[in-house]
Amino acid sequence: MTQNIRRIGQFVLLGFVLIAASMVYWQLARAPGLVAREDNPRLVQAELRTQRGRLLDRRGEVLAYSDVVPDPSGLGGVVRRRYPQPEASHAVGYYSIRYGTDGAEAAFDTTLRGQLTSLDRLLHRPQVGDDVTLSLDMAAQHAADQSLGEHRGAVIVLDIATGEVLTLVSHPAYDPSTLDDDWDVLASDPDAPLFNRATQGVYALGDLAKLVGLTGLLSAGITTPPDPHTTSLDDMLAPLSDSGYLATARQLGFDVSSPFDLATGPGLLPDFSSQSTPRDLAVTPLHMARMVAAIADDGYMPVPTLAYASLSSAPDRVFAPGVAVSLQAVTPRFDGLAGWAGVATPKETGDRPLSWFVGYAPADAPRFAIAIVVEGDDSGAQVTLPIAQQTVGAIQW
Amino acid sequence: MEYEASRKYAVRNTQYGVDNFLLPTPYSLLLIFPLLFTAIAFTQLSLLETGRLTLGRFIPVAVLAFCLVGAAWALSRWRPTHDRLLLPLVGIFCGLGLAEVARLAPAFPVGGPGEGGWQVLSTFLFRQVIWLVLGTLALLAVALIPRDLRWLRRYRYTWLFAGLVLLAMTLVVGVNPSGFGARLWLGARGVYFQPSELLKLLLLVFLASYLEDRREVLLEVEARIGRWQVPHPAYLGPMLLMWGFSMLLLIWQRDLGAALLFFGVFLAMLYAATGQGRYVLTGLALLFVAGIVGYRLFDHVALRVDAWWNPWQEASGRSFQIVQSLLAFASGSILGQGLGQGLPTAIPVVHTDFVFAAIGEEYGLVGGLAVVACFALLVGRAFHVALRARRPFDRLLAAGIGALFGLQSLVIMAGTLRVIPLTGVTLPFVSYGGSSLLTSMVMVGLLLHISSLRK
Repeated sequence: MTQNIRRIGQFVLLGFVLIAASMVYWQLARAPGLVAREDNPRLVQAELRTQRGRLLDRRGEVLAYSDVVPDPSGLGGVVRRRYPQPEASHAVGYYSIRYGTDGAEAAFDTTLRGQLTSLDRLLHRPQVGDDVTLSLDMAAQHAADQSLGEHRGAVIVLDIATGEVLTLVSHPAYDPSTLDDDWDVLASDPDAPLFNRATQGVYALGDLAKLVGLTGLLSAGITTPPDPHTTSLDDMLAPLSDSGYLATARQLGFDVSSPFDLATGPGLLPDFSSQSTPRDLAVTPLHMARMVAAIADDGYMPVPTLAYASLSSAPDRVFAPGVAVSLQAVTPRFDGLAGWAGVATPKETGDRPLSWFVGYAPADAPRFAIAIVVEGDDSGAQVTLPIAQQTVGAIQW
Repeated sequence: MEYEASRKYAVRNTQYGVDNFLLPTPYSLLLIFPLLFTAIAFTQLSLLETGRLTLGRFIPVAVLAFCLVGAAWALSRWRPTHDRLLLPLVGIFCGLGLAEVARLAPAFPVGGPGEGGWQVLSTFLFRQVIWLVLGTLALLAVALIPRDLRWLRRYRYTWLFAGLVLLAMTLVVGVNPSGFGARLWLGARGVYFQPSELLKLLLLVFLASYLEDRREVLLEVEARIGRWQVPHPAYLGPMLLMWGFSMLLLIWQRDLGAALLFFGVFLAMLYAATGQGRYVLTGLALLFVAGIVGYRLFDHVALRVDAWWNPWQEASGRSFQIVQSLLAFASGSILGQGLGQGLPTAIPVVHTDFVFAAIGEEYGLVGGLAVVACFALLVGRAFHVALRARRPFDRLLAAGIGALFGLQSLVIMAGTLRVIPLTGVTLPFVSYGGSSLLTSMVMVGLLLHISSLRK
């Protein structure tokens, strides 16, 4: 019996060795993969405790900050994200446990979120992120938001030299502070308030197709009509073939997305084989702002950025300085502001008409490029020019 | 005769064992360790909850100290030759158990939130402390009972019948204190008992007693079935009948964990008594067949097997518990998150079936391995006691207790680690559960008793 009992004992102890081995397997070998699983509630808990850094405008005004709400049952409390400037919503974006991130919150997520050292992990310190200063100018942002008012549309202002985005407004907008509660309404709203029209809205150029046409003619060294504003588009484009027009659009980068911190889309080139006209060329307001920046700056198209004083990429030269000078010469002027206004008809938009304004300021020594789109309005400069003037006038420089 | 010898030894040992009981002997050092460990655990919890040390938090530590020191004193006084490792091990398990219940169990009373005043009296922690005191008394009663264990051996059928009747009663008037789930308990008004826990112990006693009597004939008188020689049904029959009846009741109750333990312990004791490996192999083959049949016939068996075999498919559905358990182990890594600082409460009913996962998360691989080592030590000690016991009944009983502790802790640890399908048994001493704690204490009491009678 002694031998039998000893054998059973050995067998059971072998079982404990097996348990120890499987603990090593799950706690060491498989641990990294398991811990990263999306259904790990610890990730949500850590996320709820993460104190994201603040988002500031270029003068230090707070656009987003983390508020620690004491939580008696948890460690150190739960963090709420607050947005004191809802009119910056499409630039700042949102941060939501449920719906993810968007805008600058998404673009600078890594910095805002910060990193945990192994000591922080050992001591269960909450993750504390760094502040990010955005290139936004809240005074101009506010003015653009006010002047765009109830219109659906977008306003974007770039610093021509650096590509910094000073203003980024898209209407209708949303309040990121109450996003979790409003989400269902926002997501099903036919006016798409969550959609960033300034960077992702692709709008038919309509009358502004002349600007592309002129660029193409000048680049190709073809004589342009003395007064492009009174010449019809067809007459003007007659020397430039369809393929020349498309080549110009490509030269301006309209067929690809603008490089930017926020999501943007490529333009839509007209398909001349199926009754499209040059007026159908559609691009984002952001891209049009870049194009007028190139007109104002010897053909250099800036690479836009939402970060303040960051090392922005070198601008691409999209046309020769001579072309830029010639284009500047035919650009209409309105009290220190130079630019082109235009209308796209329902024929081109496929929906409601829209009014454009693209320009730069000051007219004599350009510093800022601006692009404005107002949907559902065919009054052109009448509606867009005041918005441009108020926005540019509010820039503090 | 041997009783007289141990008496003499006891008298001779009194100087060392009792009078100097609290001096730094190896034994008192062994006893300080579980108390220190438990005190540290409750210090951690108190600091985490309130930011300071609250006296009320240390009541369980004080009760544990009182139980351990009192038991050690009484055992040293009246059972001077008892095994010196068993009580410190029980102390560690109970201390860990109290800390885990305080950490994991819901703060509301057992019957659910509400009811108003005197709620503290029905919280999980309070109950576990009461059961600890009762368990210690039971341990001492069994360990100190005069003379040998003949009283257990002689009335084996009576004991087992009593256990079976209690278990059968749960089929009629069984309740579940939490208000839902399998109705495995007897009782009312806040006092509940799980007869299957007691039946485990009584079955051990029955098997040890029966096998002691019939060991010889089981080996010698054989019948033939075809080419195989099997023990004669006249001798194997009564045992198979009693055991089969227990199994049937448990399966009827859907208490799969207990049924698995009964089966394993039965095979272990049969092997201990006869040394016939073919019985074990036959038994394992039968278990395999029973598993397949159960899988095909019963949804609740199929559910557990599926959740075990491929948990990732339905990680948020029926495999939720096991996946969350593995996530807890994984997030514990080597050193663990620290008591109270992980998130093991994400596992449903973590304080009973999944307490080992909580240990894995908050004490890490190091702490978990230490717990495994302590269980291995307890089991090893039980077999040690069995090998040194003089009477066959004592040897079989001690070996059975060792096998039961071993299998039970293995089954639940392996279940939480996805080595085998999960079955709901408690981690002895550590999981919340009064009946389990009481029964485990009685079994250690038996081991202590047997160890003090050694040759």
